Amino acid sequence: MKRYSKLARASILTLAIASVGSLAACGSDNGSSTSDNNSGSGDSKVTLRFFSNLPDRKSGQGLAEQTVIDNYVKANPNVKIDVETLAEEPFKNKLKAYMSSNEPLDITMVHGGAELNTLVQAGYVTELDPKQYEGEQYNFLPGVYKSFTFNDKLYGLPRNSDYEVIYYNKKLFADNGVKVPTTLGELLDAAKAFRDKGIAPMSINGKDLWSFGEMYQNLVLRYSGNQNLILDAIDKKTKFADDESFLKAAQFLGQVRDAKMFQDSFMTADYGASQNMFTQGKAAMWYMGSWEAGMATNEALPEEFRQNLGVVKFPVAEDGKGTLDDLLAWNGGGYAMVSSSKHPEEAKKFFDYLMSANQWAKTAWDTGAAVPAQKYDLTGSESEVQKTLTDILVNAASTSGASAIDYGTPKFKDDIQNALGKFFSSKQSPEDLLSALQTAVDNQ
Amino acid sequence: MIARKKTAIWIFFLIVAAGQLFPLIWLVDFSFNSSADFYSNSILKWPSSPQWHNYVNAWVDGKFLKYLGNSLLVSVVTIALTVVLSLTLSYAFIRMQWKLRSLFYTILLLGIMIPIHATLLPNFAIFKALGLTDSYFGLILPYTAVSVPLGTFMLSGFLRSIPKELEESALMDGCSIYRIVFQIIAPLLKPALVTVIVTTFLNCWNEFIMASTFLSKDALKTLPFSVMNFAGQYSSDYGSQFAVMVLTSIPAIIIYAVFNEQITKGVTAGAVKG
Repeated sequence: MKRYSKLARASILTLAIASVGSLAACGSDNGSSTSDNNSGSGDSKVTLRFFSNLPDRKSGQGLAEQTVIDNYVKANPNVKIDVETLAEEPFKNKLKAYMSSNEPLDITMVHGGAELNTLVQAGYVTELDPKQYEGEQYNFLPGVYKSFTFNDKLYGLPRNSDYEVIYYNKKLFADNGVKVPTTLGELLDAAKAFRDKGIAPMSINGKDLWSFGEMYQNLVLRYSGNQNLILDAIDKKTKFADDESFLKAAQFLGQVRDAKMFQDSFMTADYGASQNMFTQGKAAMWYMGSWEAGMATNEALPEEFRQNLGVVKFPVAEDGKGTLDDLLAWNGGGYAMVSSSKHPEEAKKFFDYLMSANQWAKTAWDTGAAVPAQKYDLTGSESEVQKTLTDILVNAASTSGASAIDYGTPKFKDDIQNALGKFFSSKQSPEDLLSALQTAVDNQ
Repeated sequence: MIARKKTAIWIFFLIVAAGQLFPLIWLVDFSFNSSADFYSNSILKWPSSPQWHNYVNAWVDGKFLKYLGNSLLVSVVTIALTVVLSLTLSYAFIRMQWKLRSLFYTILLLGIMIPIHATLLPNFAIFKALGLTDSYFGLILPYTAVSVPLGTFMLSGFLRSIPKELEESALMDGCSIYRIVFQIIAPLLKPALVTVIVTTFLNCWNEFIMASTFLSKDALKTLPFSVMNFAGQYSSDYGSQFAVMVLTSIPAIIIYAVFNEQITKGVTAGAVKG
């Protein structure tokens, strides 16, 4: 009996050790296989690590990104590109973890502004030479580096031009005899007209909060005509109380709230909910960015909706200094090279290829996934919506270069968004909103 | 009178059952809709044309089979380790007499209060240094660590209700300590063990945040990543995501259905004899 128990003990122990050992071996096997690849250089096989926030590789921007990667691998058979993707929030968290452990990624997607600034301060991303990206091959639009430049040094390249417009349903406007608004007064009139008919005037993703921030910046721009005013306020060069445009913009938000311009229970609607409300023809307008250019050609959406989709610029204020052509545009997303890369030369080659005007910019535009930050040629097969969006961008008299909510620290973004969210879900006065915004600036 | 009471009870239970089943029905229903049909006014929506390709997407683009294999491996090893450790630990704490026993028991039980995600970044730093990120073991270790305290707690409560005389007579017959634990005690603890297995399974089957932080290689990813494969920067392919969730929940439903009776026993038994 005793013998048996010894045997049992031995076998259990062996089993336990073996299982741990083999599992650890699994891990180290995988680890060593990459390091083998990594140690190669020159003509031998090279594996680049690419980190992106676009997990869906079969549609939209993810498809565009994957297409460029596939093109490159086809042209350079000695290079393998390991793509790791996570959706927005997990992506941001993991990038921070990678930064703190100095993970040897090669190229990563970055959000310009505060997030990139953190990476720059940690020395995790490589400085780029802006001179190299001048000229025909890259063709960047003027002023797109703003969110990627710190202390006059460039650390990343933008991938998109993001700008706010109003998408609208032509049929709903025509059937109800409502004029497509070009002034803020007309916007409120349209809101009242649709409310009377029981149609939600404008859909917005209130739960995500950031659309409120864009709208407020847009309104300040319309009243002041000065793109830098709100950015200066965030830089503490001026105060919210010092310029009446801030108050007027807040007052207009109050009118929007009182006129019930947004759909019912808009504070619980996230991006998808607000979009589907609009695409299902239940809301007449949707306040959103240029990255939704692909809606007009997205076959998952009803045919009737796609034919009636229109785009207009954000209306002007009757008593404001801003014009229709002052565009709230910024460059949020982009790519950067990681300084701890194991193959800086190969990474640079791919990075330059990716950012060439005929790669990312062309692919993203052709698939309708986004409006690039580079000059692109119209192919002639664009949808009406894409053409209008191009006109809006090309004819812009001025662009902001930065989105106000992303201009400060992450804490500031939280604070300013919560202040706006609180304003829309309560009866707070515009004056109180202004002081809340000032507090957010002071505490950043 | 009795008949009427019976119908009332039946109706009541049917309502409760419907409430419990509704999320599942809703999940299956919308997995056949296209993304554009979501967020409509109707609670359930009969798809105009069932979107079977959602399931094709889930299987192919969601890399379902590969991730399922990884999830199974991680879960099975975690469960095995949890069961063996909890069983032996609880036996050592309840039946064996040794110094500082209650101190260590308390320390171990404190582990129940630590949420797994509070350990995320420290673990990441440690595993990084040890080279355990990007390996199955990097997930199995923390999953086991958080499951063992609760498992030990459940098993030790149950163990107290088992009469000592059983072990005494086994010992008289010349039974070794290992045989007592694994052949005498373990079968008696079956309902409690099943409960431990099922709760551990559900915990690691659904865990995402830790997996997303520790794993970079596609070859190691677990099932919750599959849902992620259909997320765009702003909006997502909801139909395919729902199809993935239906497929993901099937193993969980099967396990629950198989062990259902044991679980209810495991939760209640041992409570009375305290």
